[in-house]
Amino acid sequence: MMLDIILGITLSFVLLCFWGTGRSAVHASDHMVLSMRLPSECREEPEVNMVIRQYKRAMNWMLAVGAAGIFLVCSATDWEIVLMFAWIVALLISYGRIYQTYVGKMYRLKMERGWTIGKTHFTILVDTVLSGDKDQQLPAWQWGLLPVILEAVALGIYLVNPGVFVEEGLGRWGISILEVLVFTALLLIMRQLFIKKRNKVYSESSEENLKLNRFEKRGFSILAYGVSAAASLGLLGGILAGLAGFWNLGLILTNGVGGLSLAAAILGFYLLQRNMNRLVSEVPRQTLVDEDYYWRKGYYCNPNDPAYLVTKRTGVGMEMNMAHKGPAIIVTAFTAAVLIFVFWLAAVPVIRLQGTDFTMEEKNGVVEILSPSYPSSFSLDQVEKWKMVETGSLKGRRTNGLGTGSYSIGHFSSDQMGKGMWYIHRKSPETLLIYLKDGTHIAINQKTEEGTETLLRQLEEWLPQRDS
Amino acid sequence: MILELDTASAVPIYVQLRNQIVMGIGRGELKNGENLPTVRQLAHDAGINAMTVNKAYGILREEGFIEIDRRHGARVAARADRKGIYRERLEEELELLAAESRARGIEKEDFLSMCGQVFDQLFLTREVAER
Repeated sequence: MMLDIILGITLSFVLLCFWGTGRSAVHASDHMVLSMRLPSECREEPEVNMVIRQYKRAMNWMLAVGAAGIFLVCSATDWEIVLMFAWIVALLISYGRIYQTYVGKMYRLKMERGWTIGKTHFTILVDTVLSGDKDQQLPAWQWGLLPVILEAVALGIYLVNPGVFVEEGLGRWGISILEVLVFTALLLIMRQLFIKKRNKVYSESSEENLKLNRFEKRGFSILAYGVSAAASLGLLGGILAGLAGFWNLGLILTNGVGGLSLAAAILGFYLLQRNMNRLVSEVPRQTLVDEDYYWRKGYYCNPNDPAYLVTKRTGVGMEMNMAHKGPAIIVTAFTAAVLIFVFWLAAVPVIRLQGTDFTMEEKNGVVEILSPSYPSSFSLDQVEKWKMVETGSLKGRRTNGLGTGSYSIGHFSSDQMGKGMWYIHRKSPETLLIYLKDGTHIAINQKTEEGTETLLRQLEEWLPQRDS
Repeated sequence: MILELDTASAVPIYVQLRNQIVMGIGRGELKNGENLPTVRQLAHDAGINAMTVNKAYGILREEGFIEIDRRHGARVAARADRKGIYRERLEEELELLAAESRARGIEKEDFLSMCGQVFDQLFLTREVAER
């Protein structure tokens, strides 16, 4: 039930993000509608409004189907996680198709009516003063070493004390650390790619061009360095707090500061873009080149622009220049990696669980628990006592494992019983609970009541002289 | 100075680059001794091959419009270096232009008047830029 609620809230938030992004595409900021620059007098043309209406209708249908899909995902039992990712992928593909279709329509309308603003896309403008400005007053790249050093220290402390963290649930810490590492690495790489983008000519005045280009590149550099340093500091603080015994505080610092850093990055980038748009609109005698041709497919594709990363025309963020092989490879590889990771993480255990069940095997006094994920073992000498309990009475927090409405597998922690390994089918009425002398426990059952009884008999056979 | 290149033009990019820089010098937008971007920077910002920029700079250097120095990069040469052989070439090109104009019915007075207007316009642009 709790999982369904969390899933519902998460997916609703994702849907809200799609709604916001879709809506921002039709807001005419800087004469921009559906990624196309239109003269202000043409904004109210009937054909323009018709394309906008069709786009909004298609988006609304997509959102409605997406909302219905949330109920489907939340009501599934074994396959919620897999369905969730399938839902997100389907939404991404749908949104992409709708956006590309209507951006293409708007572009064709613009070309038919001759609504070009400024010079054609065949024009390349270069400001010799700007190009020759080697320094461009950017923060030194050495500032990027600060988050790297902080993370190296944090990682070093973590790796030197693995046992301590394993006890507290290695997976939770491992994933948190990985998230922060990936986040800061992405920010630093994006910064390096962003400052290498070509200088843009906004006006005939080199002074204005210098001011605007410096503002954009410097602003992004400061944002990237500041946010990645904050996230790294949070990680280091979390690791140190964890080592000092304040585990919850440690995780809050690691995840909380990381989450705040991500929010700060998004907000910072949004403010940077907004201020940049404002400064550009204040430029007297703007020099414009109509580059809508390179955006007509719904994404940026300009072989004459050496930049890999450019600022998005709608929404907040950046996108890749798909005219080059590098970005195409990066996007494909990233998508493939995410799909493979999700499949491995979510689908494989579910698929394997359909065909097998949790079992125990004894050899030389050691019992192996065989499970599709998180197998473990314990020594028969370590068994203190055991009993059968109602499955519904088992309540705990997952620290490193898989948990759905149908099963709980992996490391769990309970207020009554402490830490343990769970291999539980939630719909099975009873569970065999084995207490070990080190204070931990094993909870295991099978899909059927008879199966769980078999596990009990097996254990009693292996421990014939002992009472439960 | 703003260089404007047309990728759809039949004129090669390196010729456009050369012509634009010469126009800039003629109009006074590029002053004597003023630094030009390096080959790499200009190629990067224009989104063109560095060899194209290199070719344009090479022609400009041969014609005496720019100097290329390993330390300082490229910069506009002093005016005195440019006159030299150019006068001969100018006479040849003017001969052709004059002949073609006559063949197309443009008389001497008209031709000279047009030359004067173009020259004045060049300096008018320079004055506006300086103001």
